[in-house]
Amino acid sequence: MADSYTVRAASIRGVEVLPVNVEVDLSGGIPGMTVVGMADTSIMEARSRIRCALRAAGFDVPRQQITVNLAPGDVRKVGAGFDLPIAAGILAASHQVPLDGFDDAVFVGELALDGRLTAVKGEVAYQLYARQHNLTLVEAADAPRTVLENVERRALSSIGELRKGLRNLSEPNGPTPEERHKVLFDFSDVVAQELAKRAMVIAAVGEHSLLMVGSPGSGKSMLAQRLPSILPKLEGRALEEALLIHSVAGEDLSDLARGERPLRCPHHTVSLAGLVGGGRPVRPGEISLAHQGVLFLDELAEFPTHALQTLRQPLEERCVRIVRAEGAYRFPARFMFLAASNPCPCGNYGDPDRPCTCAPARIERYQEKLGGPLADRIDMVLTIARPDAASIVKGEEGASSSELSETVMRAREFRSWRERKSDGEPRASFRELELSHDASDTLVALAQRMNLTGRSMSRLARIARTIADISEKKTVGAAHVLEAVAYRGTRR
Amino acid sequence: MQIKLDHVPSTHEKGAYGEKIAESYLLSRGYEILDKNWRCRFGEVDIVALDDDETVLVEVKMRVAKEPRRGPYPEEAVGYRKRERYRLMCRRYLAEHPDAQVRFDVVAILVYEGQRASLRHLISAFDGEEM
Repeated sequence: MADSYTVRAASIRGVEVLPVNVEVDLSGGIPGMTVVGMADTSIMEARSRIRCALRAAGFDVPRQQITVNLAPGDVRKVGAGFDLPIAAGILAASHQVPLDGFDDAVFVGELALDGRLTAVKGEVAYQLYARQHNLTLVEAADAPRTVLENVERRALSSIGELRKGLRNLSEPNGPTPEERHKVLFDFSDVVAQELAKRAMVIAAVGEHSLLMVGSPGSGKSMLAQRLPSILPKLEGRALEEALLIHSVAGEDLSDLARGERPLRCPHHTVSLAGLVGGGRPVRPGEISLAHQGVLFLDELAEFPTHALQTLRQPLEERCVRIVRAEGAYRFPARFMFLAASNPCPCGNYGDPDRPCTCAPARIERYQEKLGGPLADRIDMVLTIARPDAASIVKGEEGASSSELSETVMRAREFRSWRERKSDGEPRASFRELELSHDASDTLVALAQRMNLTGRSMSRLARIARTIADISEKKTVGAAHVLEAVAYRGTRR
Repeated sequence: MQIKLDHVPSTHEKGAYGEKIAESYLLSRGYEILDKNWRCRFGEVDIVALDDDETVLVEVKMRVAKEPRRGPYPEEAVGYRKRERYRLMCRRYLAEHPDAQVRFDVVAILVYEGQRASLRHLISAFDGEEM
């Protein structure tokens, strides 16, 4: 008399989807429901929700011993998304719904007590999983619409609709990515900072990291906010990756869906777990949310040293690994690193008009923080001066975002054309950069005079290469190297 | 059925009255009474009845009240420990009757002034697992 059925479900671990089989077995004995298979509290609580929801939708809760097994049994499962698969398994095992299409479906959703279904976090992850395995994703009708294509989806607004059979359900039509009225940041708002804008363009083309040093009110944050506006639109795989991370973290997807690159500006009080990822369950941090976009750390010197040190590895490896007793998590973290800082605690050090009130020892300490091992990985340092009063009032508009982004697009196109032509490992050696004789001579002379290390020299050469790309030159000239030197800042 | 309480009843008497009322109610509903005061080492099941093919273990709770009231209700007295005890007793019962398909009901009776009584039958009041 035993009846059983297996339904596909999925759990999210980090940013990956873990396929889970929900096995439901009905057998005689004392009526009740037991859930086994390393389920966390939210799944154990599913029993009460499912019982109420099934009754509310007019189904019978079988008066039998219901055993639910979540396989594989050795992995911890989290999330309320198991309500629907368990309920569907019970209905299937007790022959209360048509089973057409159940074998090729993966179920995700949380049940309310009245039988309604609500979407859970990680929508994009489930969709990618369904697409990859050619499954139909059965989910809540209010699941957000996303820009992913070729995903077979079926919507349930209430568990009762399972009576209709999966094939007769419609696509979910949850909220479309909101067309929010958003203040558009444009570089034309930034007055009298043309040199800084040029540096932004170089950084955007070569994906160089950039530190801006300048007194308060010189426009550092304004510049940072506008960087995404000159970056190429997100699309294809990069877009999917960014959507996945944001979806798993439960963040808003509407900006991304429009192709805008993310800009993350964590405050300097951010916790380590918040910055690089962590927590229980493990969640991607700010640096992963900035994947394919920009990570902006304002007041860099105020960040605790250990937080900055943790950034070194992701900056080089373009991903972050979080190791826990139960295993390692890998989150992508390919971001453009942008930072800003005052030159000293009071902010006026180096300003010709305002006196700095800091004690020399404090300035020393402050700058040491900027000069630590992290700063060694920052490609460009830019000193930003306060614009003079007259030009602010006049509102002298310089280059706008659309002009700058056109430059960026062209340079990036040129760069990829050049890299395709040489078809070697890009940036592997100095030879790849195609320095002219003049340029190498200049570089050598500079290196001798300024005591440059190998790392600094290659950095300089790479920036010069980017500048040459902007002027669409195949070989790097001496002028490009000299401009690149200007972005070394005042560091020793 | 006429039930008279002309003196202050003892706990035992109250229990017996309640079970009597519950039994006549269940009979009137078409249940078949299989057993009364079924005992095992874990305690006593007030009534074992058969509803179609389901074996029902019935706990009867009776309270005497001066006037009709909104609570506390007698069924509230079937607390966690009582339910756990029924689950244990149910296992013993199933050991003796392996083919039975079981269910737990509660019959709650509130008697006012020895004249009128209200009865509430909670079908499948709880089950094998505490939620």
